[in-house]
Amino acid sequence: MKSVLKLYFTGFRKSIVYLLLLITLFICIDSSQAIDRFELGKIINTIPPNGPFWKYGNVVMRRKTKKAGMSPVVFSHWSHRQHYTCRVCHVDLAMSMRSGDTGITRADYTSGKYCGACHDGRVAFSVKESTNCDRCHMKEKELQDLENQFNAFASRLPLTNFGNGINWSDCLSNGLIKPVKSISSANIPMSLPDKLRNPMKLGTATARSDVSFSHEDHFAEMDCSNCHPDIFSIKKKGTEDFSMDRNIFGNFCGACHMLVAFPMNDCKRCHTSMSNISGV
Amino acid sequence: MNTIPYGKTSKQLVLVLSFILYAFLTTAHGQESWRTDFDETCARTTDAMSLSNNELKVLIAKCDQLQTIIEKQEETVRKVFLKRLQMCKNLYVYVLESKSASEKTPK
Amino acid sequence: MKKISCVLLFLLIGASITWAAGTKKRKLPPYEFGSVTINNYSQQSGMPPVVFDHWIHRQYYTCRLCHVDVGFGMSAGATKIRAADNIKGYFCGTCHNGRTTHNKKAVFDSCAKEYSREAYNSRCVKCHEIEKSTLKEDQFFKFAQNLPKERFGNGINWEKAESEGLIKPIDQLEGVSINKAKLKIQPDFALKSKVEGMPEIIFSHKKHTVWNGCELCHPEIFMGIKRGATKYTMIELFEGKYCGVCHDKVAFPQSDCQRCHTKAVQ
Ligand code: HEC
Ligand code: HEC
Ligand code: HEC
Ligand code: HEC
Ligand code: HEC
Ligand code: HEC
Repeated sequence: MKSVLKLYFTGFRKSIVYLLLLITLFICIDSSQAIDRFELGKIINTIPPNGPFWKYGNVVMRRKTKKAGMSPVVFSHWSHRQHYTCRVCHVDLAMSMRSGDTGITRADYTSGKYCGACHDGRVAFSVKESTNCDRCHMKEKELQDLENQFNAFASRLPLTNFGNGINWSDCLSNGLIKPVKSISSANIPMSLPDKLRNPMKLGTATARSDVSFSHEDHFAEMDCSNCHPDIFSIKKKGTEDFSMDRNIFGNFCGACHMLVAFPMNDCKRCHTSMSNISGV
Repeated sequence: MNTIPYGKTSKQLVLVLSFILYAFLTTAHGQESWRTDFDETCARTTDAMSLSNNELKVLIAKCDQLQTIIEKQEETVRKVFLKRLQMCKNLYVYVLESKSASEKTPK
Repeated sequence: MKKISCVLLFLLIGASITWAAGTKKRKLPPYEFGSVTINNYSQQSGMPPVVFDHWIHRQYYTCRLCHVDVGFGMSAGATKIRAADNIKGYFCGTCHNGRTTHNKKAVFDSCAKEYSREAYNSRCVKCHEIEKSTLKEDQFFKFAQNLPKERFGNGINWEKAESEGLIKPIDQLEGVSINKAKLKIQPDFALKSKVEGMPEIIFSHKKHTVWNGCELCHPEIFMGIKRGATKYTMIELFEGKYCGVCHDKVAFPQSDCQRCHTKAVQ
């Protein structure tokens, strides 16, 4: 233990540790107060820029592929979520919502788990065919194909300026996409309790930035257990340390709304009385 | 030693053996007696709800008696059986309370 | 200087713990669900911590047999098992004594005072786990293959597996358990959940007593003598109280909302 500490606190490492500590201290002090516009501006600037629409929500998996000498697997959320709701993969097929967590192996998916549940040669192209490897272990050409496919797909869908550049919830409510809620008759999700049908008002320090949260919109894609109790308490105001900067660092709403669902810089989507263009 | 007649040794042997056997049986019995008590006392956890209040009270009293005996046993036995006794006694107490509560306020 | 570093390290760890709030917890793979690490004394006496798997054992034995008759506590490390206890034939040593047979094979012995290198490598490390073995993982999947599936926890619907007779956990162990009359079953009931429109919970005494008898729940976990009288909330369950004592650690986890909240509200 001692030697580990010693190693850790020498030279370069030490400065990093102190820096980290300083940052955390600042944040601790920060989050105890309401933020003014200047501070908010600073926070918003920490949000990574959007990047190309077709790349948003793509998960690149290279932990295991690298060792095996394969190209990394590129999984695109946009191509799957048009057919399936989040819950199909993240509840029924037990894929974690943290990358690297599930630890998918080739033996797993060739035996019908995870990706193999659909990529069996019947529902979608098979994981077993050697001619198909490149379709997931993507190289330059396949990445270009993916981009082209995206552009063809997105062209007919409502535009936003954020994330995938697609307003997914409009797509869903207008029936432009019809993702299935379950791929097995044994796992029919329960219906939403009446009490949760109306959007919830989540108060913030300033009234103008109050948030409207719709259980119904989220329930259309997910199950209760995707959020409760790990991410949010089921008691209103029961979630501790629930603040905007924590969101931006990938906690709470940020667990999804930084990576797959529309990102945090689309302020207006949640803070309905705000505007994305200042002064309008 | 060689001169001692055969019959006598066998008599002695029988005597000694029976002594050993007796001692063994009594210690075994001494060890076992609280075990059988325990087994009898805690045998009703499966149908505790069908016992009368009086029967339950008798069983709870027996549990209390057993507790003082088990507390004198060696460490491991004490640890295991005090826990088992606790669980069975608490269930009887719970059932007794539940029954007397429902008697007071019939549905 | 050293002291400061230590303090800083603690602060950092503290910060990282609060920062973990509001993110997804790691989901245990099905073969690790219900695994308990017991390490009150092992490491301090130079043995690796003990890893106990519920899935291996609950296919053969009911919860009641171990948690009442053998006397294991209902939280990790609570029993304070000593090697000496095992050697005397209690706790793990009740079965793991080299004599008790199971499927016509003697169940391997547990702790010992004196032992050979060979015994260490073949026996001790089965419980005092040095490293995760993929063998156990394979065994798990082979076992789970033919059982009814479930989405969470072990991925096995244990309740169905038992009621369909695919597994036959025994409730009595010769010389340990008391010979008892057949279990009298209590009626099932519905619990209203306090949020309007949230489906009611059907609690089945029948399905639970198969595994748990009565004394495991009453009064240790549920002391309310009238049902509905004690108020428990979902938050308390999530914190590991009441139903949460079993559901999340060994029985199916609470992320399976629908399995408890089953009865549709009219
Ligand atoms: C072969 C014996 C055995 C069986 C059968 C068994 N358990 Fe356990 N259980 C244990 C042991 C040993 C521990 C660890 C106790 C300790 O560390 O003190 C334990 C611990 C637990 C814990 C605490 C786990 C934790 O992480 O805190 C729970 C809950 C539990 N058991 C529930 C159950 C349920 C429910 C069943 C029936 C489905 C069951 N057990 C069947 C032996 C058993
Ligand atoms: C009620 C009896 C019983 C009790 C109590 C019990 N076990 Fe077991 N255990 C078994 C049986 C039966 C097996 C299966 C043996 C076999 O397949 O050969 C088993 C298997 C195991 C295995 C798997 C061994 C392998 O690799 O195949 C481990 C590890 C284990 N037990 C650990 C423990 C520990 C640790 C305890 C105490 C905390 C314990 N057991 C208590 C009956 C019991
Ligand atoms: C059936 C499972 C099992 C096996 C096999 C087993 N142990 Fe243990 N042992 C345990 C458990 C459970 C504990 C208690 C763990 C704790 O709390 O740290 C324990 C504790 C110990 C301790 C701690 C001593 C103390 O103070 O109580 C030692 C030393 C030990 N075992 C040695 C051994 C050796 C040596 C072997 C092989 C010959 C062995 N054990 C095999 C289950 C087992
Ligand atoms: C898995 C845990 C569990 C087991 C095992 C269990 N019960 Fe219950 N029991 C409950 C719960 C939960 C309640 C409701 C308590 C409450 O609402 O406070 C309850 C209520 C009761 C009540 C209260 C009376 C009523 O219906 O209003 C009685 C009496 C009772 N149980 C007896 C038993 C008996 C006898 C057994 C064994 C055959 C048993 N229980 C096994 C969980 C259990
Ligand atoms: C192990 C069974 C079980 C599971 C699984 C379960 N619940 Fe519950 N739930 C209960 C019980 C018991 C109550 C309390 C009923 C009462 O009021 O007595 C409850 C109550 C509730 C309530 C009412 C408010 C409150 O705090 O009491 C809500 C909301 C709720 N549960 C949501 C959920 C959600 C969301 C999930 C899934 C993440 C879930 N439950 C999973 C058993 C369960
Ligand atoms: C002593 C441990 C224990 C406690 C406490 C407990 N359960 Fe269970 N429960 C089990 C076990 C074991 C099973 C068998 C299935 C499994 O292991 O996944 C089970 C199965 C179930 C099932 C599925 C069977 C069925 O009826 O369809 C439901 C629903 C359930 N429990 C609800 C509850 C609720 C609600 C509570 C709290 C009021 C509760 N349980 C408390 C151990 C427990």
